[in-house]
Amino acid sequence: MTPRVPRGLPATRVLRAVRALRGTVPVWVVVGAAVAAGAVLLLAVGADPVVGYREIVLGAVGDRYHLGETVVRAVPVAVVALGVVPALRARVFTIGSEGQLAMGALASTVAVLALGTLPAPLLLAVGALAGVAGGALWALPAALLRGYARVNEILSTLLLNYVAGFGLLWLLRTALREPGTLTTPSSADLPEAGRIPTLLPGTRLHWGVVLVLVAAAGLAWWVRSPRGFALDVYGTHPALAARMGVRPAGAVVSTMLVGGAAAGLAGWVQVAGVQGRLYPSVAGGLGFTGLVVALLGGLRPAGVLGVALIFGALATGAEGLQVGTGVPASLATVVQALLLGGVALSAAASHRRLRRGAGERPG
Amino acid sequence: MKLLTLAFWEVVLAGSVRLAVPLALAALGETLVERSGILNLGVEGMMIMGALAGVWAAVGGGSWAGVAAGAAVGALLGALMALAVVGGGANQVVIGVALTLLGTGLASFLFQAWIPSGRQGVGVSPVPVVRVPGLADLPLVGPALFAQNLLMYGTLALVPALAWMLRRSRFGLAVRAVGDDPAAAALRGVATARVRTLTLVAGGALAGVAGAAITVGYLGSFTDGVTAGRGFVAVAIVIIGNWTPLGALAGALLFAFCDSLALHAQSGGVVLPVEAWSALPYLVTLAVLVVTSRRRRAPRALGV
Amino acid sequence: MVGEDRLPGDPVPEAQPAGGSPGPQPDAPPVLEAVGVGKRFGAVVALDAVDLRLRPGQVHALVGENGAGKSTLALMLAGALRPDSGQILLDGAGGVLPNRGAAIAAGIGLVPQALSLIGELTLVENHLLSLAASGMRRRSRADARRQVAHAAALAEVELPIDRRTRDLAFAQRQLGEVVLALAQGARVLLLDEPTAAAGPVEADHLLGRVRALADAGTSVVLVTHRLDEVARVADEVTVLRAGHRVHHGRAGALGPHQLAELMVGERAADEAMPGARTGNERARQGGSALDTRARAPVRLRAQGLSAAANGGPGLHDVSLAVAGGEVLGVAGVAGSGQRVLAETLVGLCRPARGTVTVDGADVTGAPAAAVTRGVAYVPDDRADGVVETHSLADNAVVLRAGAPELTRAGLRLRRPAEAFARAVFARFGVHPPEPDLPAAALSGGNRQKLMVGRELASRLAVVVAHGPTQGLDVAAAAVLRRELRAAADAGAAVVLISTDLDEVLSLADRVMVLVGGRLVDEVPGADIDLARLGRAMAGLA
Repeated sequence: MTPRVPRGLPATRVLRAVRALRGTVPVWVVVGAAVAAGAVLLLAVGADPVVGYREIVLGAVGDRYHLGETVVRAVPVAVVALGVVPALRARVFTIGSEGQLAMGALASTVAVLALGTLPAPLLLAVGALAGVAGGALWALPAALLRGYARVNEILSTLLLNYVAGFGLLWLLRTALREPGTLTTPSSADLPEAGRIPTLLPGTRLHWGVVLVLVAAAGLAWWVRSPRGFALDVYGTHPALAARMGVRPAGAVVSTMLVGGAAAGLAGWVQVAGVQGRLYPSVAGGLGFTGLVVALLGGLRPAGVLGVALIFGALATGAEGLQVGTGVPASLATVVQALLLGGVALSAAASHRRLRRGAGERPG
Repeated sequence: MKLLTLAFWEVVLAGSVRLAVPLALAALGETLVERSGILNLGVEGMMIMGALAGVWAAVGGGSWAGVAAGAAVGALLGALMALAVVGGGANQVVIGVALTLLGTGLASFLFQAWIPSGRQGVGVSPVPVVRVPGLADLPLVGPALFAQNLLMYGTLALVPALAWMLRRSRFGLAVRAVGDDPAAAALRGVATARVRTLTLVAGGALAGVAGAAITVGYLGSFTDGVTAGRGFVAVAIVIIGNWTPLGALAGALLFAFCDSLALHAQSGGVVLPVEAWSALPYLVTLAVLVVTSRRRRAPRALGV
Repeated sequence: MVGEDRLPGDPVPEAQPAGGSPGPQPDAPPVLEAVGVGKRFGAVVALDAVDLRLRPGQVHALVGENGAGKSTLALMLAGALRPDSGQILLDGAGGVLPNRGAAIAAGIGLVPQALSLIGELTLVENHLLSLAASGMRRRSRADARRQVAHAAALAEVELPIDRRTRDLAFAQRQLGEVVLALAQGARVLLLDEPTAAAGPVEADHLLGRVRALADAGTSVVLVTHRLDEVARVADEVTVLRAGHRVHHGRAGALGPHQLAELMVGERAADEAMPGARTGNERARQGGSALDTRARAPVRLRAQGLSAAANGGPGLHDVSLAVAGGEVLGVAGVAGSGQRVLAETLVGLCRPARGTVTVDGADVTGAPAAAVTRGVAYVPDDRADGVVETHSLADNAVVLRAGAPELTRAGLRLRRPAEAFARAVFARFGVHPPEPDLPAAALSGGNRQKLMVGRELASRLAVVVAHGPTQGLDVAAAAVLRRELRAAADAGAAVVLISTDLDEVLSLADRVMVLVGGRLVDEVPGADIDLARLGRAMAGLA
């Protein structure tokens, strides 16, 4: 007997709400409101809002280095976000990117350090593959639990995030620890051949950007494919999707593995492209941010790329703000949260308008 | 401290009960909310804001002012969620995530603005501990059950109160009705929006108190990320506890027991590495979630 | 009067039964009245300047086809919906009932079409809920229990009032709703299609209770599209058509055929009464054709199906065989296992035992294979078959999205999909015929047409239709029935499952009855005897 899917499933409504983002004029109102709220917060801590926002803009795109930083920040977030879109479209609400990223970073660090004598292109490939494998493997338990034991994936992936964090910490403290790094244990530096080469001299911007573009293209193709369509339908109408040939367990496991693989790849990018060595804070909220970016980007590749850039700019800009004025950088998080909430509200409003036009009435 | 001594287990049990209080409070609040058919993923944000508000108010007004501040802030955030989800019809999961993000970001922001890193941290005297004379000296369970702060006794009293309210009171009947079939409840004359708003505000208040229970209850100070995901664990506990107040308490005790064991086993130098002990509560919660996935009866309007 | 807060059965100063003097009083002032009420939903006018007067102790039938505005009017009389214009008068006074709670307190009971019992609560608890919501004086549980028990006695029904209503049978829930309305001291009962999902025996019983209550003083508005009920049980009748009142008068004055004409206008009066074709007529018409059909090869065969279902009887050893060109009707009261049967036949549900084969190929538990073999499925909940967030074009091609003519290089093509969609729109009258519109923008009836159109679009082996014409107006329902017949004539084996006996009888060559998950009785179309069917559906051999 097919489970009677109540229309009100939370993730069902995610999809519906996010779909309705298309063509919502009030989005600019939302952005304006978020900017205004940011100004209020700046005032609240005694800073001049105009100065504050100028620092943010300068910090984000003020010069070549900072522009590079913005993109550098956006790259792993975009990869995570793009990877989690298929799952979200199928109403599989996985929030385990944080842990999957950490495990991917761990796997790639171990692999690259172990095979450190290989030449550059090979070592990069090893790192990337190990990252993908690490992330996907960490996604597997939660995927199987959801696919075969109906365990809610929101909670299982979340709990596993914490386990991953502790596991990473343990290994960094013991097996991988670079001597001399006691207070914040980290691994040894990756060999030069294992590091992603810089794209733009004078910045930290690396060739990992290409990965983002490739991933976005891949997602765009998948979204318009018959299989992508079927998984979309599965999100809200599993019975109809079953008649299209979608098997529930398969859909869940495959989309979660893709999300894990992407997060793991982003982990490799963080280590091999940005930080050069493995730190316990490698994930640093990127997983969660990726999820938010995917939602705000309307679960579509173009939107995700755009929002990822905006978030990258916000984060880098806020750091510049802190350096320049002492205002805490977590302002960026607050603005991101307000944007998310505001967009969700405006989407609900336009969806209501749509349904009212249809004239659903008792008859 | 050897693993099998009475003293060791006494300390672990006492710690379990103490650590369970914030979890139980948050889980009780979330139970109420979910029984009315709303999934609130903003608990983490409400908790951490309550934790900060607690310390901030306690500096000037003492520990009970801190608890009250936590409740107020949590209630406010709950009202915000009600406005967006019940009033505005926005997606509850997205708004919950946004609220958590907002709470964590805002708490971090405000704390750093209040006490920039480098300055000496702020400490407050926690909620007073009450020892029940005689009973507190019982072996093994004495300190655990009869030498705790007032928040713990309050939480303990809240469990049967909430259970009774859900089962027998008018409001509880309305909550259960709305959580089962909101459309039919509306036809029966229940103000579903008002019921859900009330549960969200109450749930938010409890989450805020839960956060304050950590900082003002036993820690005495605030640090970034002091809640460490407890808000989400509370949501898991609600599911494990099958959406009952007693189940929420049991789940909270389970997680807190593992947590307490982890804390004290580390210092005892037992076999497993520190991090394994830290991961234990999360793993156990996950295991219980899996094992109990058969016999669950969620409120139908919840859709999980 | 209800506001006095006395328990039913308490001694009363004047010897007067609750609710007024017994028997219809044609000249007495109306107890509930709608005066010139109007209502719009978006661009659609649901009601336009409609009047209705309900006199004490009367049964007032409110008839019209789907979409005529009957339910809207009933909801307004109940205070659950506010009119855009006009007034609702209670006992001749006061303008508008502010909300449902106030209406309940004033003694207006409502039994909506989709039952409003909270499954998680018992009948007593449902009653307590309504009491609390209407702001009446606090009642203890024991008091509430006594009220419910008394009301049940008044209506002469036996019900388990301390069980979760989810665990009750459908007929018990329906009667339970009536009892609860009475327990709240209702002196007016608004019943919206109470017999829609009931078999003839249950319907009879229910209508008998209604008549008895009216005779004892309760005033009743009976919303129905079953015209035979009007003469049987009503005193007055009001006919609505497209939101306007087109007739009002004594119930016995006009016969069912005339009422049907008023309901739909002169054309298609026949289609308004599909059940009017008696068994003999059918036999005359389809006699020889029936023989040919019976000898055609079996295309759908189900053997020994047994399946469990949560919240329902499941299936117990169900077997059936349908030949190409034949329509098998499956009748039964709601909750007899129709959904499990439909889902098992199309492969969505994997039975614990038994097999389903289409043209000899096993499709048990394999929904995609069934689709490939040419199985079409119209589910009873149209929300299950239409994806609101996707466009009409997407919904039209959903089952053939990977077909070579609709894809290139692994990507879906737009133009061919739109062309296909337009063909479906034209054939089934889907409005508005815009392929790019999201399905959420269509009305319920149009979504139903879209879904059916998509399913019947190609050459089929088997069609399983579960309640396909629900929510459709008469014209659309007729189109649908024609299409189902056409599918059968083109060689498909059609299974029509419905709780609406008229719908089943309008098309079936053969009728089986589903009771508690078992198939009992099989009646060839030529010998359809309503009484026999009714008894079978009620579980009385």
